[in-house]
Amino acid sequence: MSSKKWVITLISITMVIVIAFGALQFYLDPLLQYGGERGPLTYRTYTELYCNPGIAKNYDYNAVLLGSSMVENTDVSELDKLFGCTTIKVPYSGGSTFNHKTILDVCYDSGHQVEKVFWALDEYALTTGKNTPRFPLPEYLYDNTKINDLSYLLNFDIFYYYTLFDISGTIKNQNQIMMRDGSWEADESIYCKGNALSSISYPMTQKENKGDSFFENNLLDNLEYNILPLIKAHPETEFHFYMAPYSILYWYIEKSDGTLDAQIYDVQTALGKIFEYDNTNVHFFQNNEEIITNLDLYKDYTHFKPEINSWMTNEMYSHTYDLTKESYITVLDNFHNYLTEFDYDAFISGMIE
Amino acid sequence: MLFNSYIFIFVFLPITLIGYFALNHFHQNKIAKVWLVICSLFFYAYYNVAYLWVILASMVVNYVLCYAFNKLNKSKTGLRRFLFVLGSFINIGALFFYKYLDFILETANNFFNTDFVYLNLVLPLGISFFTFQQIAYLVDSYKGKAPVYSVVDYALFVTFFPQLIQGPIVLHNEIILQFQDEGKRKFNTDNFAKGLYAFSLGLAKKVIIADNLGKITTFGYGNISSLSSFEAVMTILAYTFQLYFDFSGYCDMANGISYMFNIELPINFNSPYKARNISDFWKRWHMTLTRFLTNYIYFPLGGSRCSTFRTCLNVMIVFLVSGIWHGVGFTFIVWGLMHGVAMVLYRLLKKWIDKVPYAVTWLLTFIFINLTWVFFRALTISDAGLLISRVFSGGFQLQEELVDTLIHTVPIHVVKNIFEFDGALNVILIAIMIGATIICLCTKNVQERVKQFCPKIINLLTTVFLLIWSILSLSGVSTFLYFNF
Repeated sequence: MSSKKWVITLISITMVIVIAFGALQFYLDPLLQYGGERGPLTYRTYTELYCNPGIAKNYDYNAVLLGSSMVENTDVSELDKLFGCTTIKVPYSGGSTFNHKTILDVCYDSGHQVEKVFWALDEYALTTGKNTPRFPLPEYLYDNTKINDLSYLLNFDIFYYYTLFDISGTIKNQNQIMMRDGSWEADESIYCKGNALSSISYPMTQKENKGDSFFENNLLDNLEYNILPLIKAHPETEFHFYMAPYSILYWYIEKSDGTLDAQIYDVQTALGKIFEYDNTNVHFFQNNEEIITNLDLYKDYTHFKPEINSWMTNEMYSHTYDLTKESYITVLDNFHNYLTEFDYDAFISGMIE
Repeated sequence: MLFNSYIFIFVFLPITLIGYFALNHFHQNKIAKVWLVICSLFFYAYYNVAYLWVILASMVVNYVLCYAFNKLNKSKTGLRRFLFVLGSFINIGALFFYKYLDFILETANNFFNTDFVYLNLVLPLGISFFTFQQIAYLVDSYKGKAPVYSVVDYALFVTFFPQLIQGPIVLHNEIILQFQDEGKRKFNTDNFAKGLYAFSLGLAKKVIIADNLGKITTFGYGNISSLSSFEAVMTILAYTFQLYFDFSGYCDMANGISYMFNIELPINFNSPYKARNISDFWKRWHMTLTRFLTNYIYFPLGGSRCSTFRTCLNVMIVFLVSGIWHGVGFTFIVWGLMHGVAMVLYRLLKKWIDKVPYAVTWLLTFIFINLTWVFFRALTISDAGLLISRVFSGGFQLQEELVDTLIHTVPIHVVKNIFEFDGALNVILIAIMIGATIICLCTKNVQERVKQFCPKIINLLTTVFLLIWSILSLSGVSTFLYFNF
């Protein structure tokens, strides 16, 4: 064989196969980058980091639900029914405010008229670095640059883990789009005080109090770069910030680590800044004693039953747990006192017995 | 820009090649070289244009100095020496400024409780390589062994993109003369085929082997304190092979691209893990660096033409410099000194060591190299010590995070689905390491394959397969976090 024939054959075969592969990926579009569920497959969106941008770009919606694992169990159809909107759910398990800002930017940049944002804030997210995503972002899915779409179209990993997964689901007639419509399925029995208690080390060593301003730098950065600019830039959007009820065990850990004061201070500071804007509502569920001390509602020290998500949706609608510019300091001070004076040892010992 | 990127493979390389040979076709050789310099600078600045001026300034300073050496009357020894010292100071000074200044400040702050503010400079790409290349030219010019090249030839020598970022460290007379050779200006299908072959093999080594081994390495070095014995051994071996396949794969790609331009770069790796002793290893690993250190540091220090003690000291100095050149931190210094001590011991005990059977000396050399790579990769010396101690901690188990990493690597996932039994992943990991060892020890390296290259169906199909697999693996998926917490 001549070198010329060898080269021409090599380039021809390679290009034909690579182009065919890319065309197939474009047609099947497993991560919904080119117009939503337009292909022949039953799309099963299950990996937030990779599936959220396609949902944000191409679904038809006017409301967005975002947050951490605290919102993953939310059934968005309940939000739709009560608030009269069409909601997408784009959470990031363990996600930072950088994750939330990035996906909200995708929502706005894709031309959607976002009327409502339901944004579950977590204490840890307020204090993570301002440019720190939970995992490295596949930026080619999040931006609108076409040239780097090759990283999507010619990506064998995406073909193997998503396209084949969807093809298999289609063949088996598994008609579910988990992230959009429902909650993840979990065995009811996992929610019990035994599991909640086993998720912490008890007893913990009491560390010295880190002081109010321990997380302040990151907190202010997160507010300044990832939260407030969005509220300010979109006065047409109604922002519903809410804080989900962690179990009392979470606060035991924070108190033992000496960061309880700092966390309450962070929330107070954040809410103070958020209340400067008229297009914001704040729903505070963390101080519901009946829930946070009932460990049978939890699978670990923070994650609760789907019923709690439904409860929060309903209460947001009825405004029962709203904080206002006038009330938030008092409510948080009272909660702070409650957490400071709570007899954790008696409670946990009682539970263990 | 990276060789292993879509922009390079589908856009940059074809455009650069077409432009270069088209200009040469119309007898515009000088413009063709300018085109290649411009493309190389674009390649260099693709990710960070801010440091373009560093390489440009470095080239201008060195070219002016070398021009001055050649134009100055040889009798003006003092001025020539002054210019040489100035040039050396500027080159080494720039390297220290960008690469080591923060480390020195940090060390001073730690040891003397000072309060120096760090500069947090981003290291200009390839500065270690283009600085050494130009130091070599500076020395040769000072000694009157290098002619004055045209500005374009000199710029091409420094910036020629295949060797710009990770070497090999080429000498001026190796590359400029080839670009001046009229016979190499025409597109040559034989060389292009060899180049495609070498590039594809290098790309496969980097993307398919090194990057996947890197996942094990990243996990291992990120979780040293909790590793089982099995995980610690796998981590150490994975890095040993990752480093070789990554670096030599890059050099194979560089050689392959150069072949496409009818340029032959010096060999940088010659199956280094076949080495029977540490001296043999350094004749096979990063050969152009060894050549530089030998010619421009070891020989000027006196080499081996002095007392035994002085020779050993020279060896230690060379490896100390090698350690410092390779990276910033005490771990690299320790790594260099370990190799220096090993070289000194080999030199002193050579006549006995050489009588030991190959299998024994190979094994001891391989184990030693593995240990030294631990210091090379670890963030701190204590981390390196801890990893080595974890080898003796016992246990065969794999942690959940490593299992997750492994089963989300497509080839491993495929194999794991076929062989579903307890401990399957352990067996797969062992098989991977044995496979990597066999590739390193029992197969021809890419240079040997390219030298003997003859277009055949079998190497066509192999190349197509590896090229497609590599192209489709360039992106990957970084995480597979399922949202069930």
